[in-house]
Amino acid sequence: MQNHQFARRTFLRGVGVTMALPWFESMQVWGDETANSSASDAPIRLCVTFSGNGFHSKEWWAKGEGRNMELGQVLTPLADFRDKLLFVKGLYHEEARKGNIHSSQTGNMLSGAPIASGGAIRSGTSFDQLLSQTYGRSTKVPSLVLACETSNPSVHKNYSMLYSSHISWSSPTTPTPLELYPALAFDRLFKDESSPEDKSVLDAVLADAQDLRRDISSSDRQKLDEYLDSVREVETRIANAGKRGELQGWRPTLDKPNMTRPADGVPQDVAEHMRLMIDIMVLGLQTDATRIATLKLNNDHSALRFPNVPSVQQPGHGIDYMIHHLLSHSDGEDWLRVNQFFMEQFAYLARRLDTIQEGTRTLLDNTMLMHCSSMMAGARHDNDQLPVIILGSAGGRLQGGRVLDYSGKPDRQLCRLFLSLMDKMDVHPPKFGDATSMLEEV
Amino acid sequence: MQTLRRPKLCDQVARPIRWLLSIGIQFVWLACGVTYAADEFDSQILPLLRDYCNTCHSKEKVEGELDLQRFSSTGIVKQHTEVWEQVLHQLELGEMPPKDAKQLSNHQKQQLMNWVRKTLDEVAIANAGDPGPVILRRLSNREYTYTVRDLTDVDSLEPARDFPVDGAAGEGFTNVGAALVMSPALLTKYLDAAKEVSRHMVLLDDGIRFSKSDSAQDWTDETLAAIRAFYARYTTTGDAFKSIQQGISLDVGTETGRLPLNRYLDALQGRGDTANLSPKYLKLLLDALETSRPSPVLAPLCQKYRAKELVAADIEAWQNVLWRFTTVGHIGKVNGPTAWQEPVTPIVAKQELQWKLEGNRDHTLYLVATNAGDGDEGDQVVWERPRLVAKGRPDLPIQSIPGVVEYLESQRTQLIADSEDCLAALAVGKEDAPRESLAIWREYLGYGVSKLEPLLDRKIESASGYNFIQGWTGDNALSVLANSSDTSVRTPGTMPGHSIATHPAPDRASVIAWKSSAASVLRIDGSVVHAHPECGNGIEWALEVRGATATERLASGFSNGSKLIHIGPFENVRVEPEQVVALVIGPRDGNHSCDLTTVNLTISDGANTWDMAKDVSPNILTGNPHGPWHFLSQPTSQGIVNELPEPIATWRKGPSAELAAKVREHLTIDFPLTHPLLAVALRSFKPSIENVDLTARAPSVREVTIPAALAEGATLVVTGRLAATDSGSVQMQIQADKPTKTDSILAGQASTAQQKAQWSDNRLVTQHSSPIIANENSQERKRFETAFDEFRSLYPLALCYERIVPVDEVVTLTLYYREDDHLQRLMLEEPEVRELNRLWNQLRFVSDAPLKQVDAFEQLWQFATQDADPSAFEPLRDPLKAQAAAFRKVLTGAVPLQKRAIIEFAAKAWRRPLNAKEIADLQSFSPRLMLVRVLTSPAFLYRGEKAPQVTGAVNDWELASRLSYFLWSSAPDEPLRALAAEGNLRDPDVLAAQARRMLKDARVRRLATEFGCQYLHVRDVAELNEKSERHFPTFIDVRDDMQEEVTRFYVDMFQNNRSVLALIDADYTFINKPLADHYGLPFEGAGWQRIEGLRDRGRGGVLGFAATLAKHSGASRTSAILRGTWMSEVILGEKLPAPPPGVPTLPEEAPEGLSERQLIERHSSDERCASCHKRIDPFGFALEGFDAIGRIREADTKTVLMDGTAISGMSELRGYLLNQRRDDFLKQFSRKLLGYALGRSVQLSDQPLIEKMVQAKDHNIGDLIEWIVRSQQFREIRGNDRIINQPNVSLR
Repeated sequence: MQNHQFARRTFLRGVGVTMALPWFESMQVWGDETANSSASDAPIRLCVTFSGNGFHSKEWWAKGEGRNMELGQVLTPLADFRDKLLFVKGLYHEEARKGNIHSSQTGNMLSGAPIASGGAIRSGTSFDQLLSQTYGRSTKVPSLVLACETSNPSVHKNYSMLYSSHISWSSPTTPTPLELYPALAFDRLFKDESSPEDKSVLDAVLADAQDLRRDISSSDRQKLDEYLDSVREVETRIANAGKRGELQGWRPTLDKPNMTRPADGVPQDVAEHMRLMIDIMVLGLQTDATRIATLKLNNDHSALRFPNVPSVQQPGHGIDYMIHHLLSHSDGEDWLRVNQFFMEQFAYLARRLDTIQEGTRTLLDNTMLMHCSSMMAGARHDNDQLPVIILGSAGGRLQGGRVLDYSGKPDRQLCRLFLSLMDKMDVHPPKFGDATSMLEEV
Repeated sequence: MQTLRRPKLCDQVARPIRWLLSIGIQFVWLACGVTYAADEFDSQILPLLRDYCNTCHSKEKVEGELDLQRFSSTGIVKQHTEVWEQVLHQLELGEMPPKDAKQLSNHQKQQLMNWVRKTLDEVAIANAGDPGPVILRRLSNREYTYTVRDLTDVDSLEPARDFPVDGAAGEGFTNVGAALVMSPALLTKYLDAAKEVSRHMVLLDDGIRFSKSDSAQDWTDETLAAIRAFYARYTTTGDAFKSIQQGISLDVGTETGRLPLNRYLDALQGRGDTANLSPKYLKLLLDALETSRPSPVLAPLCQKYRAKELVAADIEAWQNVLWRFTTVGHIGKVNGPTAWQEPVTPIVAKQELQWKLEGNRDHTLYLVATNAGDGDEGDQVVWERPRLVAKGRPDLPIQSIPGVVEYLESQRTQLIADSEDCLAALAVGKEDAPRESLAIWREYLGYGVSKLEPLLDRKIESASGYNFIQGWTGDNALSVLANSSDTSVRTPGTMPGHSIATHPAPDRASVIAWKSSAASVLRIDGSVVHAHPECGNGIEWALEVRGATATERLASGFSNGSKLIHIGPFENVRVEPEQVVALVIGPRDGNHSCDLTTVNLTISDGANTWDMAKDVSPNILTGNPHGPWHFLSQPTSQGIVNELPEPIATWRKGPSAELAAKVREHLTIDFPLTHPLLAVALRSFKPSIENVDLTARAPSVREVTIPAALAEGATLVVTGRLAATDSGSVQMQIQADKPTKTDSILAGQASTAQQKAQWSDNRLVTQHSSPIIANENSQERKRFETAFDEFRSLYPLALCYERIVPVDEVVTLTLYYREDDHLQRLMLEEPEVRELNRLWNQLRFVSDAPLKQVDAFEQLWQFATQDADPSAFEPLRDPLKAQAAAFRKVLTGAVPLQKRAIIEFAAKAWRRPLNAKEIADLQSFSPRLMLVRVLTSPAFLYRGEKAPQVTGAVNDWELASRLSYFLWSSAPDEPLRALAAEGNLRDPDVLAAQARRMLKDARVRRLATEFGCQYLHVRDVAELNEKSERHFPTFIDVRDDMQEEVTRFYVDMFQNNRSVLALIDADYTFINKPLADHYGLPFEGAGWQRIEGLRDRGRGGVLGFAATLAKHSGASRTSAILRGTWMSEVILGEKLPAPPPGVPTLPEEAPEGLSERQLIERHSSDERCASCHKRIDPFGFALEGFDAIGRIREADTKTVLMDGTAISGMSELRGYLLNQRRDDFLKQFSRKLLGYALGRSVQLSDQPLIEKMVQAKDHNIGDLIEWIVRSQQFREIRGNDRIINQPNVSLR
């Protein structure tokens, strides 16, 4: 690191700063693009979905390989994707086992970081946000962080409930703000907002410079003209910003949204809300407006009810008699039914991605689509093993149709899986959370 | 080296010169009143030039791009002084004429040089004070960073970290306009940097502040920390204290926030000082303690105070019983607490007193009635029914005690005598034994009836909305439920189909009993599973066979998560008719939340089988009892009793005559009066004395003696009250020690516990050990209430809720809780209250709490709908919504205030007042973008100065910037701005005074690095990467410290106005431990320290700094050439010619057998190089005593300098510099300082000022800086009249 810095500075001094700059900067920009194998391949995307309170204690499992894989009842909605499914068993976060149940988990779901108690809020930067620090510069939106249940700001058993509602963390003290409104998520992807702001500032400072120019000496004017020329050139660059894509080898298959902007507000129906959020996420990935997306379907310790899901235990009714959190304790038929409802959303997302062709692969093939929860079974609140499944083949770098079982093995940190996934996207932190090495099998 | 004549005339003539200049005459050399012989040039100089110079430097040949032929008069010479400076320099160096050309005689050479010097001096004097050409300066990266930090007061900001490195120009500093370029790429970086800074701006309800973080959570935490720091000024600090809820230990509050009584009492009683104490509270206390009060509580305190014996413990005793702490996470709910710190009043009309007797011994107790410290009037007391209470025997009035002992002794004798007969009779179920003894044995052994009460008698027709869940219930969630359906449901615990579940109360266990109708031998099989293991701490259970008194415990234990616990099966369990099999489910540690437990019992006598779930679940409401099944409760305090001792237990399992004999034998040996058999016997004892009340007049003490036989497991119970119903006030106590004082008041202890049914409804009950007994509405009662109020108003336990973020409920509702009314009332003055309110408003604003609270409420309400009573929170709904609505208005209303603050910020950033148009333009942006715009404007990025028509003073604002960027590399601070606004800064005295002030400031550190370190070429030692790690592995760890030493040396010099000669001869420096180790100097303690006596240790000043020595060395070896060049050029200001082409390079490492010095000597002996190396190498040789990273080493340091002076080592070099070269050093330093101050190259016209600086008395740095800031060139700007394309004229 030091050597690198040194080399860069020496280099700048040697060549002469003014001459060196534009060239150097362009190096950096294209450097990111070339990191991803061949420039004509579609980039790899990461998409993480989350549901709280775990799953049915007996029905989250998978056996066998490829198309012959057998699935527990929770996973039956994914039957069509068995050959693209990576079922990972036995991984966990050491830090999540400290503290209490619920409120002290989830907040480190994607970081494995220690979590502060006593009403304070401190976790760790999540791996999706770490990736977005690298890939965010290449896309309009660094990452899309969505949710279908509002977060809870109060304190539960000595831990802030913000932890139960946030899987993405931009910094250890910043749970990435969640977008709950489909219309606003849509706007974030497709409404042009940053450039006009920059332009308004540039217009204003250009006027400042012209005012200043009147009062200063002729020799100073020559100097100030450097500034005026620079402002004008940056303004031109902003105006031409949309044309930059032409330089890249790969073009997204869609350049404008192919759906209309959703209505304002949050849909009354939970299923509709989830579908809309998924559609927007797919759109964001397809148009390359972002490459990183997370969707929190509900909170851990969730208060959602499911009147839309028919009850097995009370035929003729929806499952609205119990909130998600307490339903998870029952481990009954209705709980299983709600689990399947969540997996249906996940399957819907996979299906949408799989219908979009990007060259020889589908968008799903170019994506790592992960679903996870903060505990294995709601009835037991156990997080010694966490439920994790992955769909999609990361542009051919990830092989599906497999069950990987780490239970009983040493070094079964979930963060090792995150290191593996980051590796697929060519980001290689020396350590992440409580892990220092990747999972070889992934 | 020659020096200039002091230009005495110059000051007086400066103005006429400028006037002349202003009318278009550029260079007037006659104006100083010096006349020249017009013919000197023609007659003396021109011939020399023609003969010795113009042959090469002619119009045609132009050797070295120099044409000297064109200089045909003195006037032309004076217009091109830069050429003639160069000519003079070449002559001085002896470079010209070249060795192979015709040589000037010594006399001719002197003549030529003297003339050039004289002519240049004339020009210098004539133009002295010229502000010179200063090009518009962009802020350097450093200046930008420092300015942003000063404006935001956030020292960690690094907005310029990605900027390209600034170039240096002028005198070699990075603050010269020409080298500070702008490009589109850099402009984009400025825009990004401004955005980054704007992300650190915290928008407040009344303006803005800046944070080191860009995270909203951190901003909230900062404000929280500010409030806590405020609280900490007046309160104690300490640990958290805890409350256990649903098995979770939660912080109720902290010891921080308490009233620091001892410090106040010490101060008032002359034991401590009043530093950091509130004057307001001191006065309040003083008034209270010096005034005599009738209060029975306060009067004793005043008394102790007068004796100077009052300590905090005296007051704390009362604080602890008059206050209690509650939980605040749900304040506002139905039946919830009203505040964190609540008053409690220990006054009762009647007091239950209990004294638990422990140990098998005689006890003496005292019934004490005191007058409560307020006189004896009306203090007639009644001790109601004093009695001994023990489990399983009738209460014994204390008056009957002697008779009881007698009775027990006779019973014992009788029972032993009758034992074999009784057991024989019981074994066969006959009555042929002494009747009284047989009854006792029967009851003791459980051959009797177990009382099955109280039965649960309230029906539950449907639980949790399921009509198939029904059962029986008592108070506090005590219940037995049956699921008649096939479906497993959550209620919220899990109830499988056709199951029975039960839930205990906090103080009562649930008992499910099966009653036997006949004597039988049973097989018992049971199961217990905690149905709701996600919360709570689980349950305890026991399976027992019960007779009337005897209970045999078959098994017991605790629940284990959701694991099913099998109990038994127990075979061959013998029961008598009416005996019961009981399954007891109790709350663990009194915590009954989430304690629903699924249970079952299957009992078989060989012929019949009773399965509770099967029998009861279809129709539990048929009745209680339900066939043989009984659902009842018992106190949790009732543990296992009457474990039968051997050999009775053995007899009980299989009676025989032999075993009965053994029982008798056993009883003769071991049959204490406390034996349970006698307890059974005691049940039929009829005390001859009825319970009689005792009366007494307080103060009084009555002694009670209790023999050991009755003491074990017994409690002395009595109710105390006043005899009269309208007057009197006493305190009544049972005590083990005879009291010595019965006419004073006692604080006693208080204990507070939660009486909790479900989590939405917790109530606190506080019990006092020594309450005042006074009747309702009595005068005495009112007097005490007043006394307690008075006490509480003066002595709260806590001044404020320092924790602020409550975590004291399982799920909190309140996000930030404020309770500091006591602090405000007792300690704070008006401005402090305002400050505190401001911080609290800020906290609410920054955290968005009123809006978040609405979400928190909604979710809490949802949780409560599932396993508690949501209506408890209903009263909070509307107020929270109203607060949120009000807060939205605050949000809108804050924007104009934020904008106003940013406009104030802009005026500081732009370093001048804003005009109306600028303000209006800024206002059109949103606050955050407004800041971006301010920081991207040329008004911020450039140090623009208005160009006057005529050369003259810059305006006050521009002058303020010149001064602050010179000394602090940053924008003017508030005092400078104030002076500029008043128009006073243009007064040179004021300006000089400001410079002196600023030199004392810590920000002068920037002058140390930007000027001081750059001047010595050690600005980048902290990042020096070139050193060979193989040779110098330690360097990398100490390089920061090396640079820090130089910086600290300068800071000390600036702040203490030291002589600049200290750079050469200081006997001190500043080091830390790593640097001391590096230098091999002794060091004690930690941190940075000034150390003296450096010269004796071979160091002192720049010659001995590791930074300078390491910087001017190679990667793996020293370099006398580098050090010598540095000495010659940087320290002495000599101008060396460029090395000739084709110079061989030196190897990085000295070859085997050659010292570094020898290596260089060999190189320098090269014919082409020798002339220069003779000048520079000797300086380096003198410093060979230091290795390439500045450590002292053995080396040959003898050398002869260019001027023939022989020296050896660093100290002689220092002597040479101080004596022979002092003026050269001073001139060079002054020139660099002036160049840095002005942001341009020093020119010929600066020579008079530099001369003044060189001659300054004592050479103090402050004086030098004052010369500069007072100078014309510093305070003035060239007018448009002077802006011509004049080349920079450099000084020799």
